[in-house]
Amino acid sequence: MRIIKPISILTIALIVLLHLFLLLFLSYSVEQTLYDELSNRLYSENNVVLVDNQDVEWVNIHIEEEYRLFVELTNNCRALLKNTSSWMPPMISGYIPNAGDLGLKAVVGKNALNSVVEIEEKKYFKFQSCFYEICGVVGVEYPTSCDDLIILFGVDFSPHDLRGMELILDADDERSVSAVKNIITSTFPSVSLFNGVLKGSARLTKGSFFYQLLEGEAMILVALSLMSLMKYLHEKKKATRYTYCILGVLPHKIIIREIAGVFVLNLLAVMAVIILAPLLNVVGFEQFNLILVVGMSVTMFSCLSKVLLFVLDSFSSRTNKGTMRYI
Amino acid sequence: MFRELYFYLRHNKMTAFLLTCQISLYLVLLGTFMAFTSEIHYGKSNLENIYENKAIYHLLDGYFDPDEFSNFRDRSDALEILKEYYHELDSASSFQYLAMFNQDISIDAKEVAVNSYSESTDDVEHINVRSFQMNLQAHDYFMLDVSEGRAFVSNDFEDKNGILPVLLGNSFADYYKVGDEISVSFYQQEITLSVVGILSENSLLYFNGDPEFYLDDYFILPYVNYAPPETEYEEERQEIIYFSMINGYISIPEGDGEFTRVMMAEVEAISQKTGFDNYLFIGSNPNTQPYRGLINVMNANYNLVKTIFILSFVINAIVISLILFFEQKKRLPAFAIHYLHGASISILAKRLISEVLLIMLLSYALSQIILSSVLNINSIVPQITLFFTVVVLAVVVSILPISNIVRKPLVVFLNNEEGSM
Repeated sequence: MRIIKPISILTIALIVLLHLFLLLFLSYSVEQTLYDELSNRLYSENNVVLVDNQDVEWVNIHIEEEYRLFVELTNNCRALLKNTSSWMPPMISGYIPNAGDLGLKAVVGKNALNSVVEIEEKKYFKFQSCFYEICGVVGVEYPTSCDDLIILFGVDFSPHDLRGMELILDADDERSVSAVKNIITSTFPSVSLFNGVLKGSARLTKGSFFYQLLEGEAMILVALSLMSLMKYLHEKKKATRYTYCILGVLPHKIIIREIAGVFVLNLLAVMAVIILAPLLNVVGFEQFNLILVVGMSVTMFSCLSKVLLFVLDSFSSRTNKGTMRYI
Repeated sequence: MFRELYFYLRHNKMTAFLLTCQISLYLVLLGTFMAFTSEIHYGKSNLENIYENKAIYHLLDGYFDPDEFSNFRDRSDALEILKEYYHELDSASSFQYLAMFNQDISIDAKEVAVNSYSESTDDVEHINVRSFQMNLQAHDYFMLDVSEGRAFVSNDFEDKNGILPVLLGNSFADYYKVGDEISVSFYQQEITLSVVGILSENSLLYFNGDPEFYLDDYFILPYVNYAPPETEYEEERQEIIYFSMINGYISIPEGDGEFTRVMMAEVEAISQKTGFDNYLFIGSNPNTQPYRGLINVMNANYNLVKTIFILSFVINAIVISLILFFEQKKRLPAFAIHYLHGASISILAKRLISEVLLIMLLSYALSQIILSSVLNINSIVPQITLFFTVVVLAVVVSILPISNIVRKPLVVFLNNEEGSM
């Protein structure tokens, strides 16, 4: 019954708010990436351009990284040469073909649907006398700059066809792009490397810089808020700890008891977040894992803060030549 | 009062330190959000100022057949026709004529600055650098701004015997400075470029159907009004340059077709007057093309950041207020003892608010140092807004404990188990 005190309820409410704040930021990062990719015509901001003035023999070499390799055929049309990642651009309908899908396929933007041909109730996009079966529509509900886009799958280019063409290497993280480009340029010296395509919201608003800054600030702010809260709770229990000591309770039992209290408060907060976060539309039920990861991190940090406060108390008692070292 | 504040801080070092860091970081977060939202707003309104309610047409010469092209150039008055046609377009009353063209220029690879910029200069005497030429109307239309030096002025578009002013894209900012002179080969002629300014980062314009054509990697050269040529070679060179100048863009207000009709009538009149009758249009309205898609995404992004900003503001304001309120509530028994020792209610209230204000003002000062010195965010709007936020937070946090002090008998708090100095 002790836990149901008003202060406990307020503490749980505060921890819930901090959880929601963190989840808000993490779901924001997903949306921000979507906007950046939509306005950069589905390329991430990590992409680089590779040009080989000799026959391109390196498209199918095995590299242990998750990446994508495209070739730009026209302003609006590109072909996917290789995809080792689980790439999933925003789709209005359909799917992205994977390596197991046979035949010539295409994924197009909304506007490009106007230029498709229909044969036996199937839609095809005709490019250079070949027919590509439309298996998906990329984009979002509102008009974006990728509505004219056409991505072709299953195109069989010979190494000679790709000579001198701009190949776009892209991946979800900068490290993968860096690793792949280093392997390719070191193994094939004829490959030249150029800066990739960066347009849209990421470039116009310096989004990447601001997002990283905000994310860092948000994490530290949550950590400081938790520490302030734990410090308050720690001091609030000071008199109780003295009393337990006078009654002969062992210090380590007092410490374990208080850390368990913090753990229970966090546990209750996580349970509240599991219900509240989807209800408030902060994250969906499908992101249950994310809620758990955030919950575990916050709980662990709260308990560690509590341990740290006991350690600091211990140092302070030693310097003050106190008798009750741990309280 | 100050002595008591000193004692308060001395006895609550860690609490005061944690609270100051927490509130400072909260203010830094809000300041960063404000800078981010204003950056998105600036980027969006910058694009809207350029493109909103405007239609752009690409005007081309119709000499696609090489024989027709040679026949035209073989005419003795070819250069005069081209010059007159261009000047009439440039001074038309019903539209804006934007002469723009991109063309590589060749730079001596021995120049140290360029060597630093390009990594592929080994064993070659010259390297190519991207250049972009434009007339004054295009320069003003796209509101090109500089981070150093000055933008182009009308005098820069006059022929100065082999010396051309140049604006450098922002990527070159570390390699050249205003006043530098660079020798280049431009349309097979050695000329000297004099750097008059460095463009702001991410300067952009509309080119080849792309509303986001960035100029960061370009040398920007003015299309000058060339003096009459003195040699045959110079005449041929000017013809080539004027051909690029007449393949430009026409901008008119977006409307019901009347603007287009008037513009086309004027172009036809210019064509007949000057004798250059082989031209064609490619309509290109940026409002229905990639620009609109980009603006939609920017709007959605702006709304998202604004929502996250407001939620972050509210959530953290609640968290900080509650923690500060808890801390102040914890002080009430100590205040009760002061009261028993003869302190008046007003002195206790002043002391409480001064403790809160001290932490708030320290946090504000710290956040301003971080924002301006570390993050380079110096705008006056966040400074004022954050100060206002700090004052409001201080008042909100102090009201409840002060009302407790004023309304309840202070001895009630002596039973409070949360007592501390």
